[in-house]
Amino acid sequence: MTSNDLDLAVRHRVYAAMAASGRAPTAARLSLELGAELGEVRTSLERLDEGHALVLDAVTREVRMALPFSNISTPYRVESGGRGWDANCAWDSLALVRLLGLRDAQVLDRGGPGRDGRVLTVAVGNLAERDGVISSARPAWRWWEDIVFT
Amino acid sequence: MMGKGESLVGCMTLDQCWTLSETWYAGRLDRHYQRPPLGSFQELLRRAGLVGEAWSLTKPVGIT
Repeated sequence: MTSNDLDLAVRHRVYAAMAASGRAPTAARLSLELGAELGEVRTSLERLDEGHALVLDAVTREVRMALPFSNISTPYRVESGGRGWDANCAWDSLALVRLLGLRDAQVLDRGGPGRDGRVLTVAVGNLAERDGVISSARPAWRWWEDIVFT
Repeated sequence: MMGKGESLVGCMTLDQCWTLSETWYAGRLDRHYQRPPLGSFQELLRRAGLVGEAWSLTKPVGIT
């Protein structure tokens, strides 16, 4: 398998797992599933991180984000049909609905310091609430300086 | 952050976000998930009405 093929396979497996279960496989799990050496999988993950196709945890170097999915619990969650996924931010929570093609869902912002929580409703493929704003602490050209902070 | 507008760098309405999310993410969960080229995402932002320095994907001239 070429490096490019491995990267595609790793990314696909990560996204498929996150769509199915809300959580990404570990590098060890990917190695088993793909029949690839663990070192090769870890190198592939680093390439994908460098290319902004995935975001790895700064310490563990396991998947932290497969945008718009979050691999950790966050205040932003999408629930539909008895299933749930964590998003990285408000924007990603709406993006997650689109990515999964959810017709009916609840988009939850559990709030935080100085910020009220809110629930948005998607019904028959449409966002019911349109009031309010989503804001960013950084201009777009700085998002990837620290995408976890962004 | 949702619901309460604050004086942060860039704000988009829920309407803009919903529209942008469709053009950016709908149909992309497939084996060949690809991030579109930088230029096309800038165009998507522009079409969603998100223009100006806060929404520029390239560093504005003059900023060091």
